[in-house]
Amino acid sequence: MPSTVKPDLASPPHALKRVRWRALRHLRVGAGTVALVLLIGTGVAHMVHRSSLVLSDARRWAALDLREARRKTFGAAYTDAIQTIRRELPSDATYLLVPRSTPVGWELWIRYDLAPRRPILLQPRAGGGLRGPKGTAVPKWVDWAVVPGDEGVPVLVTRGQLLSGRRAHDAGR
Amino acid sequence: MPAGSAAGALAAIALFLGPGLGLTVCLPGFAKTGLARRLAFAYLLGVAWIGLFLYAASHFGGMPIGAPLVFLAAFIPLSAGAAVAVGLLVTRKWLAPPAARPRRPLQALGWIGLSLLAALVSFSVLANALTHPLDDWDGRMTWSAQAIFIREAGSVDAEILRSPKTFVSHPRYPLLMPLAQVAVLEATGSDDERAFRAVYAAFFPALVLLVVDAGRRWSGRRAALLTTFALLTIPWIPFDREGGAAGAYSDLPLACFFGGGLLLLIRGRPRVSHGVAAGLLLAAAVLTKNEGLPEAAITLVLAGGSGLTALRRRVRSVRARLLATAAASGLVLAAFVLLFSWRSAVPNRYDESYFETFSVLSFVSNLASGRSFSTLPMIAARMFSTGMWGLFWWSAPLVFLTAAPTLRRPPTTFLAIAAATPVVVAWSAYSQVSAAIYYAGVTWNRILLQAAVPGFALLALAVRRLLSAVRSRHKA
Repeated sequence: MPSTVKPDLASPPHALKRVRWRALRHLRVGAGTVALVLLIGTGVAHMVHRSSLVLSDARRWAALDLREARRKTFGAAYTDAIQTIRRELPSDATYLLVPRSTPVGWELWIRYDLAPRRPILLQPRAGGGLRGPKGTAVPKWVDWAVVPGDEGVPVLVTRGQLLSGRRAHDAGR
Repeated sequence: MPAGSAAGALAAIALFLGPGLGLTVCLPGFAKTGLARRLAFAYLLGVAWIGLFLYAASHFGGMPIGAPLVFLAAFIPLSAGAAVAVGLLVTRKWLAPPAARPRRPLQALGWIGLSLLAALVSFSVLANALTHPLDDWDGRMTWSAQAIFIREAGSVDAEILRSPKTFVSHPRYPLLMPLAQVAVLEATGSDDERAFRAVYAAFFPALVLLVVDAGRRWSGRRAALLTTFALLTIPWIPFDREGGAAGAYSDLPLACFFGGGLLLLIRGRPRVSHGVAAGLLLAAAVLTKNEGLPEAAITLVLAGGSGLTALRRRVRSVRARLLATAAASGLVLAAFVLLFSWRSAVPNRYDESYFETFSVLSFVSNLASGRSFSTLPMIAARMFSTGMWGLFWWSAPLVFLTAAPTLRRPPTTFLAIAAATPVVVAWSAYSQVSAAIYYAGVTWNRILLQAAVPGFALLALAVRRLLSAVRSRHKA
């Protein structure tokens, strides 16, 4: 026999269940709505503020030419040293690159700033001296080397200067 | 803003936008596309076309990469597009985009607000790019360094990449974005890195427009509006140098190529021209980053799957879907052959060597690796950083959970699989490196960015359900 009980006359447990389900649904929808409103409301305000900061920073930098902008970003001594090396080392030259222990990645910065000059990375040997890629000897056909100077400023030296300096360094240890 | 660099930036963007517009005129699938959406796809197609053309012409044709080749690459689609446009105008077959439906004042105000915010953020990223030198990590370590090396050699097969002794990081990474940089520098006759930085900045508005398109297609205007606002609340995507639009990383371009290809292929009734455009974008994805290969592959699998589903249900669009997928697959396969051929002559060094140790078995077993799970605290720290993501990961999961779309409906399942692909690939890769936590820290945000288009399309589906629940509550 089909049920003829009207919804509002449903048994108390069912009615209670429905009320609970509705409340839960309202809570869920409310929570989702609040989360969305909060995300967009605070986010839009933050992005407008952040964009205005970026724009005013860009306005300050707009007066600088590329060289000045680089000096301001990477430091005057570093930028000038890179310019000097770029003048002295032909663009198709190969050079030996000796990394610096800190900060990590110093050699990556140098490689980019001296590109398209071709670097060969040297590493300190455990027993002293330097080694080339995959443990090979330091290549004899490369005449120039770039080594870290004070505070990460790169210095261009000859291969002979590099090796004699390294021997003196190892002897002093 | 220096006038020279502003002019260079405009020229850089026009170099890709012009040929891209030519392509969208030639491909009939874009005939009814509105201006904003057309501009987004035109920009992506322009970068993809010029990058692919230079890559193939240099590697297979041995042609020197320089200004003449760049202008030739741009001239072909530009002239073809102009010829087709004139033909359409003469025969009066030019299809105007469908007239916009009348909107409610509140919604119209919302779209105006969204446009203003997107324009403000995009312009500030561009202004930053035009005034600051390149100082992000991967841009200087890999992408822009490679660009200088191949520009000097005039070839993607530069001796420095092939010589095992030279110090080149990730020498086997695909070169599409470095080629885009070279194209800009050659076309503008400049060495000023600020010109190509504008190219990366322009990917941000393209991503915003892709998210609008994805949201509107599957969830309607209102959900698209709110979802795109949610995207625009994330600070790191436009402003961060390490992976955002303010740097020269390849993740944002990859997110756009992958998302754009997905949008063009996963649709009710794609045309072959949609397949060709999707193929160009997915081929560009393959040649942009290593992750592009699985992302392009999964897009093709999903498109093929939707064709087979249509076949089973005897839907009329079976032929269209399969033809579009076949056209896209052909282009992706060609890109894969190009990548494989180019890479075979480049000895690997200064790289994590994922490919050397890759196997399907190791990929699957890596998913359960303890090393990957050890990255979870770092991943959580990245996602819940309000400086990077704003309140996105505090709020969006709640929105999603309170109105989760059902997985049984095809777009939801497809979008979920597409969004999960970069995440799963990264998760497996973390188990292969000893410093997994470090790698998770520097890559996780970018992995999520790669999944942005399908991810925000999923969020839009949830927002639509939330909106309809709110409406029914009001009615009650």
